[in-house]
Amino acid sequence: MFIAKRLISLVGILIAMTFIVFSLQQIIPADPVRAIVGMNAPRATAEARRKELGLDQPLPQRYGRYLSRLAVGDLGVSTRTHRPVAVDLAHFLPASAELMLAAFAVGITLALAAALPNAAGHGGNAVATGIIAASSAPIFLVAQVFALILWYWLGWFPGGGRLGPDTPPPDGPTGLFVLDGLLNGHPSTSIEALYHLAIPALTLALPVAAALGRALTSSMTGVLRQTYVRTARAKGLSEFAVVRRHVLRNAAPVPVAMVGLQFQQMFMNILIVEGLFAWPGVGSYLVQAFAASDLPAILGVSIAFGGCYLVLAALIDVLQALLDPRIEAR
Amino acid sequence: MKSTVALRAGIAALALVAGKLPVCAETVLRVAYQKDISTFDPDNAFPLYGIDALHVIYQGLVQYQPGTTELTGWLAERWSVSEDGLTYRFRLHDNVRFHDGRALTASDVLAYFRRRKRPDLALSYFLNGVADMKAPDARTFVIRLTAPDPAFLDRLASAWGPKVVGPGALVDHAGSDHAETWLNEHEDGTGPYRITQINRGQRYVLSRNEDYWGKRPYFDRIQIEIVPQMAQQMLMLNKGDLDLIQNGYPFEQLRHLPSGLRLLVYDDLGLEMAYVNRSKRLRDPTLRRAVLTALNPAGWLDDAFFGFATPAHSLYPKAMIAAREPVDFPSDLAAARAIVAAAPPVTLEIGYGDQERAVQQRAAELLASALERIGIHATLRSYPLDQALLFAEDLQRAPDLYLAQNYPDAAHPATQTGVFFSSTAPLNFFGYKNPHIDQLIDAADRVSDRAERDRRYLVISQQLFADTAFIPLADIRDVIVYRQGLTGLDPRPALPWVVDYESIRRE
Repeated sequence: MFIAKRLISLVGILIAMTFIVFSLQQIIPADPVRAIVGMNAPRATAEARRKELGLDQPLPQRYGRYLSRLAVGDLGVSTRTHRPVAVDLAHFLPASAELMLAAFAVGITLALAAALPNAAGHGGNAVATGIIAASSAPIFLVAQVFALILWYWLGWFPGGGRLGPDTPPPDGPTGLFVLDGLLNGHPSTSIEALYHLAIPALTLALPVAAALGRALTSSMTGVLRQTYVRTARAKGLSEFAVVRRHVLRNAAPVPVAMVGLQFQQMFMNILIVEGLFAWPGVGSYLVQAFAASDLPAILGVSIAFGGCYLVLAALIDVLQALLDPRIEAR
Repeated sequence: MKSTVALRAGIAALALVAGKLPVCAETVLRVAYQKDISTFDPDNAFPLYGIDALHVIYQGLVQYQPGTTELTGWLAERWSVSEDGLTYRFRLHDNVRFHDGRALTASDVLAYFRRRKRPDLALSYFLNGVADMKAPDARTFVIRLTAPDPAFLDRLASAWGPKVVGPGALVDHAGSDHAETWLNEHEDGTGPYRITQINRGQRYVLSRNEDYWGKRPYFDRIQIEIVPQMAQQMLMLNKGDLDLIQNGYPFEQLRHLPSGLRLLVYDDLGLEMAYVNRSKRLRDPTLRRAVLTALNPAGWLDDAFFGFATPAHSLYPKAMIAAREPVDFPSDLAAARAIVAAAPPVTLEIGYGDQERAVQQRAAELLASALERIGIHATLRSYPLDQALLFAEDLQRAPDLYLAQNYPDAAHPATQTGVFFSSTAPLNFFGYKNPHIDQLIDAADRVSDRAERDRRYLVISQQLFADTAFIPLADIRDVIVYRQGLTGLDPRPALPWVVDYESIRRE
């Protein structure tokens, strides 16, 4: 019942979101037709194309048509790439998903590395200080510094792209190259994909690590003062066992709730980071779609990311309910 | 210390297993685009990125010679124009093959041109004046126009002009949309390269067509990377991961290139112009003249373009019409100041285009500073080109001046007047209308003799400038930065940002 309620509200929010994006495009004085026919095309050519695309019709009519197509899974055709938006998303989303997953993995690892010693009363550590320092700078600056040092000067990692020019992309099934390389029996492809992920994932991970690290430290500090922790220690459990069994689980709801917010933040950051590292993901796709006033693509990305965010939010709610049954009861 | 050594060893091992950065072969040319290629259909998009790729995959009937705006045959061995200027007869080369192996015939060219003329394709307007087409024999293709159009061959040679697609696409994969879908990701051209890898958003690879009918190109492969940030492209070039940057290298850094990099500077058809909104504060001709005095490019050009631009000689780029003298701007600053002082306080809005935005912004700032010197305060705002197209709908809300560098379709002046200056021109941003100018344009558009043609177009330029409707500012030069050892880049003024992959080679 809890999950069903979340799903129903999710559909409602998604429809509202399409309406907002659709209306915004109407207000912004940009002309998608010119992006198609070119700026130099005669006005008559542009007007004929506008009519053909139905862009001369009133907003409610266009929106109604869009929704009816959306109901059957048709996101329309990108006016820039001339391909169905769904096909484009299937191509670009996995790249972003892989980057974000890697960034979350690195971010959570760094957050734990920063939070655990702090919470355990060992005071500040170098990891926590480094994370806070690096995440204080604007992300484009951090990205460029990493690229300059780790790629350009030291040559330890590649500066952009998902794979080198001599490595063919693996044939699916997931579009996540690290996983697909393994599934297709090409571990060297997976390693190369990891190698390309390193700098962009680290860049994206820093804000996550800083936010989660702080939340976890604060939450764990509170939990460590609880009497049941003292009891667990009195029973003779090792400190590791106390932290793993009693502290982390009870401290988790706050950082877990924060993951949803970090996802939102990370989506904004990939618009920058993908461009800086020539990462062929949905962030780069969206930036180019905006430049070309490509409404179907903008809407498609908004729906995809909005959907992902809402699903993630629902999952977090469920996870929090599992971690703390009092949440479901409320 | 130990952990650092371990880290470095780990990375080294990883690099070894992953193959690290590949050592590119001598015969692979590596270039980068800031934006992705939209489609490989030469009839259905108006791209700036990818013209060079399309230029070596497909071929048209005629083309511009390297470094000039002179026309030469391409798929057409030769051509003739009837005395009435209506019929163009092209004789095709007889050994041309499409990439799927089929021989090119005039029927294929006819089928292709019929497709190109379909109104649902974005670039069909290039054939708007075509009345009829036929293929009387296997080597002859004939086009008949509705009215004489001396610019017609230039339209065919345009960067976005017709380029013949073969029956492998138009027959075998026509589908229900005349191969539109198929051509997004495939091709069937006649050029020296064919597409062998498409990885949208990241990389495209063109491989040499070993059955090419013309001279064998030097490079085995052209590797095109999508790298949105110019800063990263510059680092890649320095590091040897790229061989050249075709456009966008910041002017201010060109004087201090790292060793091993070279410059190729050439004139293209991009002209820096200021468009004047004569319906607001600048409706007063005296005030417009004062503004002209301040905008004189001699005062600010080098600061804006660091020596990579010259004062405009007319409202046509020099590569199109080589007028003898720069435009004569009024120079009496004291008189300009007096005019402004006598008028109520003036604040102007300068809009500027968002293509090559940093350059345009810098130029706009310098113009604002120049206007300040005669007592006019100016505010600045960036307008994307498609927003600028809406200025004419509400001139009172539009800026007073709009600064942009735009490109005509081809090297014939008719494409400049038709795109920017006539009453119906799509980029006549402030809707300037002058029936007399329209008549002059119509008359000039019909003249075949080049000297007389240019003379007439220059008269139009002078009258537009006298009206202060359009202000020619600068011919901005295009710059290609490349690694030492490359030769035969052969740019053409009418093809923006195009290096000829057919002729380029390593020394």
